[in-house]
Amino acid sequence: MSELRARDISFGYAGAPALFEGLNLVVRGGERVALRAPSGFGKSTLCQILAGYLEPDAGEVTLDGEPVRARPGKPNPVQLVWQHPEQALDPYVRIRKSIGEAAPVPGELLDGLGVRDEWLDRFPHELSGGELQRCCLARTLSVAPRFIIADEISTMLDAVTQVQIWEFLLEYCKGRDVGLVLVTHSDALLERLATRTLDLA
Amino acid sequence: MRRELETHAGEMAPQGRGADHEPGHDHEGEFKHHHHVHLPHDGAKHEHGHHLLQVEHLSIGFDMYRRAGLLSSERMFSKVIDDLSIAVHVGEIVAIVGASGSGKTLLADAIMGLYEPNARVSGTIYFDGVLQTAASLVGHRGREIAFVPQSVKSLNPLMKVGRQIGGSKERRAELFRQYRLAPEVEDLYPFELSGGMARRVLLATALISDPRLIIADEPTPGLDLELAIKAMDDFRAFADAGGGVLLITHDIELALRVADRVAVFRDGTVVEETDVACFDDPALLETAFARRLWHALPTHDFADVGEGAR
Repeated sequence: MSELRARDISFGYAGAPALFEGLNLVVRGGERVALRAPSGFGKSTLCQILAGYLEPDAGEVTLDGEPVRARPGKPNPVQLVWQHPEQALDPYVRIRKSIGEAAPVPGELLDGLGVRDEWLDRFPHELSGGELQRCCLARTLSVAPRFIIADEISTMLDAVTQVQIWEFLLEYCKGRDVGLVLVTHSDALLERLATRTLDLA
Repeated sequence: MRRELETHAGEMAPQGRGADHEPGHDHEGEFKHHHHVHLPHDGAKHEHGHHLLQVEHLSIGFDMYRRAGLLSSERMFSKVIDDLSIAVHVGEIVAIVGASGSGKTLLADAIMGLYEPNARVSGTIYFDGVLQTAASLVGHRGREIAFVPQSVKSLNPLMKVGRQIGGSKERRAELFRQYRLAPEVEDLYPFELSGGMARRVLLATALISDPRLIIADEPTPGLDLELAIKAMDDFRAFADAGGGVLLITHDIELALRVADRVAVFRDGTVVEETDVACFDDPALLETAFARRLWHALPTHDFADVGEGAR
């Protein structure tokens, strides 16, 4: 079973006190771990460290003992899904090109996520937040990640869209033993999704 | 170029009763233009006081061009808001919830007199009983009608907080005390604010002009639960002091905490407007879409039951 491990992570933004020091966590494939901490703790920062967007000042993040990073021709097996999909897509690139950037997106993925054909030729500003998040998830899953880091991914969506996206994502992860790290401000949603909760503070 | 709201004189006279839309008039106790009809003897007073904002039969669409061939394009018209009516009374919070991308933000823009040049607009908007045009709405914006944006990103990143909030020094100090902001915050730049401080700064910016109506567009994402609840409590206090709030949000759970009425938005219109108490029980909800939202909430079934279920 695959294992995502953060070991002795320290991080602080330049000129500011350290957000965390010596932080450890382990997530196994098939688990859904919710990160809980007060506002300003650095949950989103930690998400970006886990997915390799930020280098920790000290410590390391490993997947099955190997450092987490993308290699030429091999996308990162730990994928981050962002809270604001409109900020996660190049505004000047049509959806089709954006979501196929890393790997071709299988048709059944598009169908499962409810991505409609006619969206693909549009630009990001021509789609709603919910539609964009479905596209972003298609892009994320196209590389068959081992771990998905979901940072408030359904905050901007209506309740029905939220359910549809999570139903698909949970089913996807279950079938493939993919591990999930999630952040949400809603205790009710956390209750529904997480198999384990990590209190960071 | 901003477009004038297209208004029809005939729509101004409500159901044969004498409406008085004179500006500056004391409206207490007299009939206000209503889209829901009052019984003859109710004194024309709503349980929450008189109308602060009435939007009636608002439609907004855009002329757009789509590529048809190599060198040709065809003109098309896309309607984003379709025959929408909604009202906010004095002392009331009305939450607009519903499908993402159904035109909620466009409604907020319309109330503030912001129209794209290619927009085609029809319908009527009354503020405090007075029929508005796009130009008069622009005049109210930032004065009687204030906007609370979603994030600190709406602040000018290069301007210190104090200057940005504006107003008199005394009024600023008063608001800072009220919202527990240290006087030093005036000299900070927006990027130096924590999420909680930013929220209070945005609120102070809206309140500096002593508005009567606040329009809040998704004011809570990015806030943790505690701060989000505080934000809601601030709106409640504002409404209780005689203001009105139009709260646009995806977060039904939060909206239900403070709102008096809920308007369910879908495909550019309000499909159901109901008392907040009706959300206690899906059987009290009229439309299939409202029930579908209800069942989808994590606190309820967390399931998409479609639109056939009750």
